Amino acid sequence: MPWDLDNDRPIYLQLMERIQQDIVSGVYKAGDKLPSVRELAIDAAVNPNTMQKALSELERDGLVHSRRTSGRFITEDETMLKNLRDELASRHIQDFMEKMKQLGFQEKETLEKLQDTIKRGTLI
Amino acid sequence: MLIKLIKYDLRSLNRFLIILHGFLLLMTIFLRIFITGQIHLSTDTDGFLFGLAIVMYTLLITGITFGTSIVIVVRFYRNLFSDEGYLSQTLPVTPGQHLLAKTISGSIWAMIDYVFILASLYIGIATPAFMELFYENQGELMKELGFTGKYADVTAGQIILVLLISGFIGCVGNIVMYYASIVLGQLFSSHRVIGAIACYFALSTLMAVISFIVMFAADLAYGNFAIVPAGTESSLSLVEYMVRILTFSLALSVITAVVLYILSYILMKKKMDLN
Amino acid sequence: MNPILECRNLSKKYCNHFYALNDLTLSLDSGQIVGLLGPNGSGKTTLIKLINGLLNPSSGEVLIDGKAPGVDTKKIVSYLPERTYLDESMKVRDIIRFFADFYDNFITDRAYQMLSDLEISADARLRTLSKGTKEKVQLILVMSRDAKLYILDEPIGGVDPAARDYILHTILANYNEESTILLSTHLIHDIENILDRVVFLKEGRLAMNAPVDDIRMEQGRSVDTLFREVFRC
Repeated sequence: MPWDLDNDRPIYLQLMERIQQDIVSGVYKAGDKLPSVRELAIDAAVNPNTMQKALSELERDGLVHSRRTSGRFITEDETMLKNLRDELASRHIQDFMEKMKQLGFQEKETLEKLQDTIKRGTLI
Repeated sequence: MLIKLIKYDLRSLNRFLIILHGFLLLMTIFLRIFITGQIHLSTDTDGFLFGLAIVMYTLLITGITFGTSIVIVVRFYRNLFSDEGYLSQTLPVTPGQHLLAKTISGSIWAMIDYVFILASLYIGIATPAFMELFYENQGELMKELGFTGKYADVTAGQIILVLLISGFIGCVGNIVMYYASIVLGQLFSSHRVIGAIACYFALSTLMAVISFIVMFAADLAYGNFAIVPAGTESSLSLVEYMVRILTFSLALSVITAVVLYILSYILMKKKMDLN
Repeated sequence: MNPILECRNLSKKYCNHFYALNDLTLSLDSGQIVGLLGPNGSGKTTLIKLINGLLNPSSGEVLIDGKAPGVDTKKIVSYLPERTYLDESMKVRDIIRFFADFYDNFITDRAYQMLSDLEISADARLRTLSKGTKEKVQLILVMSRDAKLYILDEPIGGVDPAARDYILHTILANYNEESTILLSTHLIHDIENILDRVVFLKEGRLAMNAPVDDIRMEQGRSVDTLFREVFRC
């Protein structure tokens, strides 16, 4: 199943985000071996060169590291994974807050709405 | 690479031509049994059967030769200049190799065709009745035809050899001319098949004119070379006459074939644009 | 190192004085998947036929890995034309033999693997196959070669979405990072994600030659959108 990608942003950025997402959500666990560039590229239906670029960027950030012959692995650095999780969370919250603001909700209103939703236990 | 090209060409030609020549063989047996074999050179129906045999043979030989040429020509055109050309012309092979392979494979089949037709004629004619008649009158017949003097000791084997050599040159010459016509037709921007046919007729006419002019010139120069003025008694026997004509036309065939082959080669190398 | 493809002032004029390609200068490095984009009649197929030596340039030159089209370049270029070029009387098995006979870099096992993936019988005669299946057979033949330059002319034109996905999958699965793919199409949206770079042709001239991610980064829009703007009628 090709990955769902937007048309208007660089592809490698979107690939990076998708892999980060997969790491946080537990598809890949700390210390896991990542599939090869080719496998990932075919899976995502993107150019292997682009996938290579996305992985290199992740490597530069320290989230994955490569062992010379045996492939690429997710970092085992728990702090880094926790930071990634926090970072993704703040990114989503920012997006959310931005959208609520566009709908005309003040920050306080937004918070109330959020608490309300959690209390009722219904997420539509 | 050349061998591989020839292999695939022959494989493609074989499909149609084996069937066509199988048919020729069947028809020959039919003619021999039901027509020429029934001519006993004594009965009233002989005249009719003889006429029928000539008509049937003419149709059969024309048909088979035409069919063989068409199959060879279509293979050349289709394989190199139609959609299939997109594959053939992107093989790691030079245009020269393509032309040579097609000339060899086409000539092989043209030659097989020629030998089959000679054999078919022999099978049809060599009935016991004819052979008997032939042996009875052999001496007189040979003399009449001009197998005297230096031609007196000509053997059947030598005649066959001459037939084969001249047939070979003729076959290769024909194939080269067919291909040259198609290659020339490719120079037209559209209607390239019609262009090829037009080129073939133009080339044939040109050949006929050249050969007539050369013969006429030779006649003027040497006197009584080949063209025998009507109403005069020729000093040449039939055999002498045939030998001269044959030598002349073979020489002309060889020269034309070489010229047209080189022309095709140059055009295929430099000028071809695939539609 | 030579660029895998280089055009220097390349022009092709047909006899009615119409320039199908006009003074094109272009250089592509190896190791990329390049989209050759442009509307019908912009010169895509003319360029491709020039690269394959099926046409002769009117002026200028085209070099593949530093050489003019010839036996050496035909060994390293694997070409999928936009029409079916197979001898219909052959069986699938025969045509595989044919490719293996003529191309040293043809991998027979790979071809049979792809045939079985697609459930195409090797004993089927090409005449009996549907147009779509014939196109798949041709793609299999072309992608079964270990070529340096693959040239695919409209490989996804006129096929259904499932077939299109398979075709893109086949191209990706067989692509190795040292080789180059030049892929012409007018259906940009479908292939945008697999391209490194796009080359736009407009009326026989080069309109743009840029990496896809640069276009997205700088313009904030997809190549498809950009294309529609460049070629707006």
